[in-house]
Amino acid sequence: MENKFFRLKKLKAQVKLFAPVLFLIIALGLIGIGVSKNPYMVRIKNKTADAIMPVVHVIGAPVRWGKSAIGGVRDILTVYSQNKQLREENQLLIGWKNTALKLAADKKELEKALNYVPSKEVSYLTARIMADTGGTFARTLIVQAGSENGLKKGAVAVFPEGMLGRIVEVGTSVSRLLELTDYTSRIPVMVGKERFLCILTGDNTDYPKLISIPEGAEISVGDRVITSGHAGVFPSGIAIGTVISVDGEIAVQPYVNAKTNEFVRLVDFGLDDTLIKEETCECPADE
Amino acid sequence: MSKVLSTFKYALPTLLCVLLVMFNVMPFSLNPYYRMPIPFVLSIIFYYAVFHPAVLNVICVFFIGVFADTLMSTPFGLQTFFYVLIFFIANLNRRYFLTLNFADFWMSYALVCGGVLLLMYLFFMLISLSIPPFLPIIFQYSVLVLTYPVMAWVCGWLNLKIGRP
Repeated sequence: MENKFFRLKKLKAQVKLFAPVLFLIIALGLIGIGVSKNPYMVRIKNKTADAIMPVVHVIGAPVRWGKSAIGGVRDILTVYSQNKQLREENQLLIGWKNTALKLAADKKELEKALNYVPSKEVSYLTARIMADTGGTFARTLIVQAGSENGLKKGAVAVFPEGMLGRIVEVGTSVSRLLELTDYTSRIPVMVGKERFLCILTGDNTDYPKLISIPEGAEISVGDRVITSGHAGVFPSGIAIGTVISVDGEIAVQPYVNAKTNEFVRLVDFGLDDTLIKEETCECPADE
Repeated sequence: MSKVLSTFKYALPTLLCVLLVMFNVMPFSLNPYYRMPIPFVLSIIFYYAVFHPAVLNVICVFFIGVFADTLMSTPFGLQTFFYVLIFFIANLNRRYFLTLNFADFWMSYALVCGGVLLLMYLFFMLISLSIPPFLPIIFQYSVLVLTYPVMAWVCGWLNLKIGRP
């Protein structure tokens, strides 16, 4: 009886010792599944995000209120200087408004003369940024809009200043947004007045880099970076940022920073692009 | 009713870890320069793996990791692996850690945590074939080590409330 007791105790100790090893092996297996980007895993992640995000939203409420209160106090303290700045901007914008009206009239005339076929109407929706699920190893956000709101994979997240990223996973009520600073992000862009075609690649820092630069291209600090429209993922001409460094790697400072924004506009340009088709083929349809 | 309450009591460390994982995905950062979550969960796992592995056992640690992986956008399984790894290292050496005074225990944590974060960085480099910035890792590490006494105090207080199972 005593022998049996000791044997049981020994077995228990061995199980205790080997259980973490077993779980480490299982975790390694999970990494393998994760790296292969299994569509079922993606679906599980979307479903979990759908279920958890309302809880995260509730837990984060006190922090949001605190932030909003601090912002309110800051606004009150800077109201005079803001007012002065807005007056100056308003004067400038009145001039731009007249130019825009003249250009719009010219465009209409030209379109009529050329019998121009207009491109598809774009649809958009505005969603709250609910969670920052990135960090050191990724740059992604979760936004409060999903398939129930008509959001589709590939929708572009834009602000008046420029682009933030695109929707890569769509859940029922929340979706995952891949920022252009993420290490998996590759965007065909045009740089400067010469419109050199390059690829903007994220590296998980705030400053994505330009690669595949054409030979002899002279890119200098201050050059504007816009989407080129190649590959059909994004329409051409969406502002991205400005070149800030050309020593060694060419770094770009994006116009939009996710840190400073609470809401994002998601635009569906209705592009029948290859990337979206490819991604849809890999994933079985969500029942 | 008392049985339910005592079960809930033993689940408190796991719930604390789940809460911290959720806190990590909230859209604000403790650092104005780098957007990054601080994995305080590592401190809690380390503490409980040494002082009370019965309430935060390897199964709980594994599922906390899976939950974090499901929520975050890091490669799936990465956090699970390193949560279980820190548990394994701490639990394997718990007899030794239990003999240490707090300063030495803190130093041991700094050593283990540094090793795990560095390994995580190298592992990510290997599976993503990219070089992520290293400064955020140094910041994460510094915060984790500097805040460890506070985390240990909270865990110790919780441990007293929980008592022995």
